[in-house]
Amino acid sequence: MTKIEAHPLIEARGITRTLPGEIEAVLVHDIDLAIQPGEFVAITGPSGSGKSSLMYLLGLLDTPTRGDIVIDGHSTATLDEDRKAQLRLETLGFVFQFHFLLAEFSALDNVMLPMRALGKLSEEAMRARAMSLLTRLGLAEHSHKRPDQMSGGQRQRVAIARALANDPKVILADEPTGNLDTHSTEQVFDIIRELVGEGGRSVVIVTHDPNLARRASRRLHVVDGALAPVPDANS
Amino acid sequence: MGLTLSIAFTHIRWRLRQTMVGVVGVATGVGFAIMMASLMEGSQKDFVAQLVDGLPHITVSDERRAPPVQPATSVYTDAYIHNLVTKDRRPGIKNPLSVMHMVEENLSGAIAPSVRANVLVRQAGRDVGAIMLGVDPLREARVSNIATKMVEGELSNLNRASNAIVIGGRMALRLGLRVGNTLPISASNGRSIAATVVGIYRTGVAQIDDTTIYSLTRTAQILAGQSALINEFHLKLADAMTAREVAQRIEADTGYKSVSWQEAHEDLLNAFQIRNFIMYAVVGAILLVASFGTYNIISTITHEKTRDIAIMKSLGLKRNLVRRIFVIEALIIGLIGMVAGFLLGYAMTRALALVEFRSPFGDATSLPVVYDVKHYALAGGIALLASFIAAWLPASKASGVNPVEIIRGAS
Ligand SMILES: Nc1ncnc2c1ncn2[C@@H]1O[C@H](COP(=O)(O)OP(=O)(O)OP(=O)(O)O)[C@@H](O)[C@H]1O
Ligand SMILES: [Mg+2]
Repeated sequence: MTKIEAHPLIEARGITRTLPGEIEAVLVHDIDLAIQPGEFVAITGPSGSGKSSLMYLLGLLDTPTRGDIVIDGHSTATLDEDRKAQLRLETLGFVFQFHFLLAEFSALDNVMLPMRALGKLSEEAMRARAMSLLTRLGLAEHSHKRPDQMSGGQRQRVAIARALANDPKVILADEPTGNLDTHSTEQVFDIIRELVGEGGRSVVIVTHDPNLARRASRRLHVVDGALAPVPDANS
Repeated sequence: MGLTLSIAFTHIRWRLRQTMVGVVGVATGVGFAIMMASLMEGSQKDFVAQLVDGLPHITVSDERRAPPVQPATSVYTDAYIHNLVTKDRRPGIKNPLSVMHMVEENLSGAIAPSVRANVLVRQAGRDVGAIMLGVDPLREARVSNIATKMVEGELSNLNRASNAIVIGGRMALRLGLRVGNTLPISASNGRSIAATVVGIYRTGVAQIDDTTIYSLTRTAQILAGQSALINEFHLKLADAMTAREVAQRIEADTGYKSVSWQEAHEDLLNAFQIRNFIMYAVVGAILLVASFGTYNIISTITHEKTRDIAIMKSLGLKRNLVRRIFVIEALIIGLIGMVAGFLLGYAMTRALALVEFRSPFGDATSLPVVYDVKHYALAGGIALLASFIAAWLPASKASGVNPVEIIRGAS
């Protein structure tokens, strides 16, 4: 076997994010990290420590004040808004604490939204793919329901299906189980863990739950916007 | 494209009542704009048609635009000569037949010679000024529609009696004249005849109906005391709109003053231009107001959908695509409003055309309207453009939201 030089899917190079103001607020401070293909990374940290801010930066929703984020080998420091949007559409999938589905659209239409924006498949192919994603998440019979006709766990699963729509290389999930009961939390977490490694896909998940974090292949800990040593498992 | 359309449709279906209000606004604007344009242009066309049909398109007369150059002035070019008395000229067009043939040579239309004389009509002890127009009834019928405007008698009756005349309805009313009456008419040179009324016409142009008396050429020549006098040609052209150019050519060729109908009614045509300008201003204002409704709807929707916009942008939808969604919404409203406005405008124009009214001298007439695709295209085009602009501003603002701000605030 020849060793293929694999580059990280996401690489943060000394990124800092500050908010301008009378007292400059530092959201993220000089973070270096790399997410390798197939990795399952959990990010933990106290509330307000900057986990979400870091996720927005890694997902190109926000722009670092200093430093560069390299996505799949492409530096993004000089990309304009549209190019970054295109990268998000093709290579990244987001899941937030809140489902953020479009209220007037069915589950199926919500899942098809990123596919339609990308426009690489025919209408039938998109429909078939969306349906198979929903089926995989156990929502086959709910595909025509609108979000307000579903439970919280179901909605979050639709949101995951939508994140998978364009077969992204990286899933970024910011407390995806934060609003769910224990049963749904287990279900959603198991689904997310299954996604890791498919076609080299990586998953980065922010969670408050140390039990969930422990099941990841790697843990990162954020304190005051900077990476810190992971606290002892028993503490 | 399918994506933006389906989102746009969902939004406006969800805001159906407001959408309807917007559609009604645009439809009303477009409808009234069309109705107004139909009526304005209809009445203008009607008026011009009356003018053009009733009167000769060009009148060539023996008058001059400037006093003729006196022989002395042309001989002594370096000297300034004043107090010259203009040399008497025999009135009338010299060699009228050859002039007529010259004009006729390259003319698409008809020409008729006539005699114009200022006369006094004596009736019930009062002298009333009038214009006597001596014509050849057959030829005159080819250059004006006076023969078709007779309300009593025929124009050809002029041939039936000696000194026969045809007078206008207003003059008949004013002087209490009827067919068969005889009245004395005198010219400025003192000659006088006893004329018999053999017909009454009504053109609808008050000034003509009030003052113009038609007679045979010979009768007018006798009054003028100059047999064989011809001092006016009346022309009718195949294309009335070329009258101005043709008149200029005739004047250059013959040296006689040629007045086109446009020149004769210059101030009227100017008034029409002002009227048109006012019309376009009002139509523009109507459509502008209609587009405020669209602006309002799009602003409301973008406001309520800020979170959705943030979501779509976070998924990777580009700014232009997001903006397009709302512009399309406005265009849908504009388009439906436009089509509804077309129907409304057409219906209102039809209804207006049915309204009849009676003028004191005329028969019952209905409002003149024209149906012109241009009106529809113009009103529709402005409505769509206004919708587009009305949506562009709020849509641009909405598509610029920073998704992070919204997502952070909502989770
Ligand atoms: N617009 C802002 N203005 C001022 N401070 C802000 C703003 N946005 C975020 N912050 C601050 O930045 C810090 C990091 O916030 P962030 O949401 O990234 O933390 P977090 O680790 O995700 O917290 P949580 O676990 O509660 O979700 C917090 O202290 C927050 O109060
Ligand atoms: Mg957070």
